[in-house]
Amino acid sequence: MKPSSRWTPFILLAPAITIFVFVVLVPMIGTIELSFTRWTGTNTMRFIGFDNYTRAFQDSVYRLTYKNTIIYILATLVLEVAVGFALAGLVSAKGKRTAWYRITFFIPVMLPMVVIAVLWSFVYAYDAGLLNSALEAVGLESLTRVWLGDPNTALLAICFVSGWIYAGFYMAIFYAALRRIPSSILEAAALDGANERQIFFRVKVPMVRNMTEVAILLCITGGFQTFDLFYVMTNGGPDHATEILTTYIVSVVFRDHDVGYGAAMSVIMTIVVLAIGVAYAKLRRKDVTGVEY
Amino acid sequence: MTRSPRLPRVALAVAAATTLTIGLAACGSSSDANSSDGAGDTSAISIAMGSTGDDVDAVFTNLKKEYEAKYPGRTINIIVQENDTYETGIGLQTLLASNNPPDIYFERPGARLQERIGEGNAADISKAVADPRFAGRFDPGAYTGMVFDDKTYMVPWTGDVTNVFWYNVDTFSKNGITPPTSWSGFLDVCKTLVAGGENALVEGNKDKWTVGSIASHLAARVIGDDAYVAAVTGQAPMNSPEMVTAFGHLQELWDNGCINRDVNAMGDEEANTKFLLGKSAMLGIGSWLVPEQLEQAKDLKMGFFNMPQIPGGAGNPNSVLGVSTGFVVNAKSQHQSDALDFLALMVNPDSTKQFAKSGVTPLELDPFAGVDADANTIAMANMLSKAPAKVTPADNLDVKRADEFYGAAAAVIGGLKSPQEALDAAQDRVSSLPTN
Repeated sequence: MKPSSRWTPFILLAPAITIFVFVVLVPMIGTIELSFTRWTGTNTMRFIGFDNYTRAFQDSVYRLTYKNTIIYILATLVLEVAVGFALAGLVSAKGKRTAWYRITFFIPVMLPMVVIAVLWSFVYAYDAGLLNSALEAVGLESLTRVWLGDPNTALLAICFVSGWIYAGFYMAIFYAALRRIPSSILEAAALDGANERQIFFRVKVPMVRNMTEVAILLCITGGFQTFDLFYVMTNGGPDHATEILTTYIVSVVFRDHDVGYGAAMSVIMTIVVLAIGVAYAKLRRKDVTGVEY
Repeated sequence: MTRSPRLPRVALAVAAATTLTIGLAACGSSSDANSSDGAGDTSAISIAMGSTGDDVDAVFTNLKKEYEAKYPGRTINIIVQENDTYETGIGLQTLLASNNPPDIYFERPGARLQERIGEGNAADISKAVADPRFAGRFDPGAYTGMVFDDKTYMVPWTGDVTNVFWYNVDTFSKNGITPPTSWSGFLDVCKTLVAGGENALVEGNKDKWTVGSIASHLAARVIGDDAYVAAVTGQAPMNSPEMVTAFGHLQELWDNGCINRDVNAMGDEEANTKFLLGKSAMLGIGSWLVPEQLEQAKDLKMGFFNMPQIPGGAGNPNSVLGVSTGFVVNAKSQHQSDALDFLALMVNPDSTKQFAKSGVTPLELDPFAGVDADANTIAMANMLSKAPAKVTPADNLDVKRADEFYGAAAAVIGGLKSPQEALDAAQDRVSSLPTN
């Protein structure tokens, strides 16, 4: 079918492009412009060249946020993606009430993040928190901690919460991927003598490689974007132990009123995330045996 | 199958209309901001502040009704935000940068007000405060930190004692202790309470300012107010041996088990609640605890004592950590006169009585005359007005440097770093802050 006019495709694309321009492109360009200025948000903007970028590279807390963010991503790759995959494997097994389990594991994904953060703050509370109380009840008082107040445990405590939330999300993704595997392949493997474990690791896992790679990329990019969980639970403390990129940028912009510096840190973060995305895309192997979507 | 020629044309028309609408919506808001609705005697003004409790919010609601009854055609929109959001985070800054900034807003004098003046968000109200509605309502000292280059930029509202140690009277008498007057006495009180199975002192230092306030007062007491101000404003290093000594007193609280182990994980409101529920013998917080206590724990018998004296300190041993607060007329407001009319209503004797009854400490002269105010509220007011020396919390002096100062205090109070390590780290960071 040919369009009635050569302008038709452009006109039909115009709404989407307009939204993209105003919601993504203009703010992006604006942020890059701000990154070369000193501005409190309300005073007169002053051009300062690359000073903000120089300052960012010398900022010990900014460098620490990358370390914390990477630790968070590595932990959530295990707690979210790997656990999600394992859960998908379990709930895709034949049996009664697997739908019930799927719904149960997915419920945390649907809860508002702030609610979850407040809830888990109570779980981790030192006095009468659920975790410490449970440890005391079973005689493990020596394991009680100030989970969110101890730099050695705060970050991992938040990672665990993130895993609790998003394992269900990745379970749903992998469950859909596993269901798409042709049953004839699984039956053939069973006929060849493979047990459930061998079928899972030697047939199912390789066949959903594409989806696994997508999930890993989602987890990595999501790790850079996360904010509300950290902000509500610890606000970057104690002593910057849970300071991640987003919480630090928010505090610089809104507490210190240093919008230009915050913009520079955001630009650097964007470049880092883009670089990771490009490198990841290049590293992905073309898989011809996986399930096509 | 023939297709109607109208269908693609309809789709094109919808697409074009959608694009135009999105574009106009994105561009149209700035023109809305420039429009004025001040025709004739009608106007709509807005006032922004952080919440100080339901009783205080109720007073503002009454003032709104009075104002709108007194000036028909005028309306006032009261914007109340959660206090921490307004003051330490996103609230006020976002409001001021918006296309409809508030005509009046709550702010603190000193460095923060100076920032607003530099941004062009504070109107010179020198002439207005000289008129009879304001003149004579305040002691000249109430305008401290509100006048720059002989111009007045703020109308005073309340005075807050930023930190005292509130104590549970029943818990103290049960353990046979009285409010300490010296720092060593304070540590003894803590040890007695801990030995008696009580939580001695609770602080919610997640946002760093509660213990930061204590550190500010300790520093001023130990090294002297001038040296403390110099350290916090970047005129002197933050990690001087004297400052390390001051922070050593904070470390004593941790080392002696005086303070809750989760001090840096607990929010200030949670700590307040814990104290008001009687789960801790003491709480270090400001005078705004009084309206909270009146609202949430009316039956709690609580007293307070000032920062105990530290022998050998260079600062005034009876200083009070305090700030005043006020309201600023936005220089960008198109209804400055109407805004001043509201502020005049706010500071008149009747309104002052309403605020005094609600638990805050108005800065007007003799604010509690004829008011059946809570004893603690009156005591706070007297403490502030009769203080031989007033110390300003660090975040009212220099926001960025204060954050590092408070961060160092948090590291020490939580047993994470020694005073020297914490202050060295803070000094490293403030050294790299831009100077302009």
